[in-house]
Amino acid sequence: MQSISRHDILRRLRQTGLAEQVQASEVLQAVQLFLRSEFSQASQDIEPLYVRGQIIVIRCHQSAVAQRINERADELCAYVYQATGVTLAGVRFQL
Amino acid sequence: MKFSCTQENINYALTIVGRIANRTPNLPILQNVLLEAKAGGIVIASTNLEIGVRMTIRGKVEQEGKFTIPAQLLANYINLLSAERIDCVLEKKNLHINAGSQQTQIKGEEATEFPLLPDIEREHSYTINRVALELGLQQTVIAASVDETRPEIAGVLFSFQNNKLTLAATDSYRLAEKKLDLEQAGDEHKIILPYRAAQELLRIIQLTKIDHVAVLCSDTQLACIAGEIEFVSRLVEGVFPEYEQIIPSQSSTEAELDCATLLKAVKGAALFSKVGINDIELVISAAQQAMTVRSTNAQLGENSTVLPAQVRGQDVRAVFNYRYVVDGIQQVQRQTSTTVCCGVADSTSPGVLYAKKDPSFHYIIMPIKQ
Repeated sequence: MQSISRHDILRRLRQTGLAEQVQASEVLQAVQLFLRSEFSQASQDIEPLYVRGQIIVIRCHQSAVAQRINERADELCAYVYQATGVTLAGVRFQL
Repeated sequence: MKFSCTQENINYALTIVGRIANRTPNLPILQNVLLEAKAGGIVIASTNLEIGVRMTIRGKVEQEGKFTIPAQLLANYINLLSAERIDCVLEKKNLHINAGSQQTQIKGEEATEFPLLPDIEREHSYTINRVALELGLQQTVIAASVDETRPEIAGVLFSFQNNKLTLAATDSYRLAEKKLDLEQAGDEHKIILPYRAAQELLRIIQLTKIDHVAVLCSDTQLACIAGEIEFVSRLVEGVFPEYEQIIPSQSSTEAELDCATLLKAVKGAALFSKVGINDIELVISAAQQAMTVRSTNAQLGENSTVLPAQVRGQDVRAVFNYRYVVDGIQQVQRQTSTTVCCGVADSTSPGVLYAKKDPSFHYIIMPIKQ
């Protein structure tokens, strides 16, 4: 039996016009996973919100945590690329 | 980016907005203010990721753009300028400020690094008189806990109900509650504004001269709009303790006496209170129609002051922390009342301070058990 690849699913979604939303959701999930594993103690204060123009916008209430995330932004982008194939250019914070 | 504005306008905006900018080096961009020149005017904004403030000032915008500049440096410099008109031009990563004969350039950072301030959520909206809100915050914020290990009390409760806004705060030793009339009421809603945000909101509304403040809130955010100023804060997630039942509906003993005299007596007794306990004893005597404020310190000596009072009820004595009593009397004085009512049931029940002519404010103090 022929299996359906992730690429096929994305192609179908692109045809139906949902690909961007699905991809954004995948990115948010990957960012969430990264943040939960690397910043577990502060996970209540961090929430990935949306992706716009290759920038992931994260709600973070603690400037110290925001700085730590900033320092590891490259690592976060690499993780997201590995998990979803989406290239992120950076991180931006929101109140 | 190129714009011109008056020194007065930008100085005022930096006074409002600049203090939010974080001085800790955690995230360096938070030390900056965002300057955005656009068609509607010049927007100046700052955030510490918990609170955000945005203010629009009038000015002539020749070229739109945005940039961030260290808040403290810009505020200090603008404050020194005497020229009426200030011209700002952005060239590469430097903001050139020309004011009369003075030319300055300040290094800054790209606005793309600056955190985003969220759009204001308008699920619940209310309007309140600014002076009333200022008084309410002044009277309640002093009782809020500064200990963030109990986040549900590390803030001020805003409870919108029946055309009224109830502000309440407690640190579990004392509680302050103020009821205010809303000018434009909405549906019932309760939120807890973090202590620092409440203090900052109070500071900002003290600096404005607007008559009305629009309060807009959702489950996660509170926004206040006072003219050209927008204040946004996150909220404390949690439930404020059900405090209504601890406010005595009627105390068995009530003494009404002059605020200033009682304050002096309490401050005098405080000098002889025990270090670390800060205890003073209040003795209310119905027969003598007087209240005695006394304290004893084995090392220093003792103090006792008898004050004439209108007493209703039976004789009672209770020990309180003088700091909380002083705070309470001062807040009652803000009600423009010259007299304060002290309600005490017994030595183990909470005492209550309020102004008889305006009982919209109640200040409850837990006694020190002997």
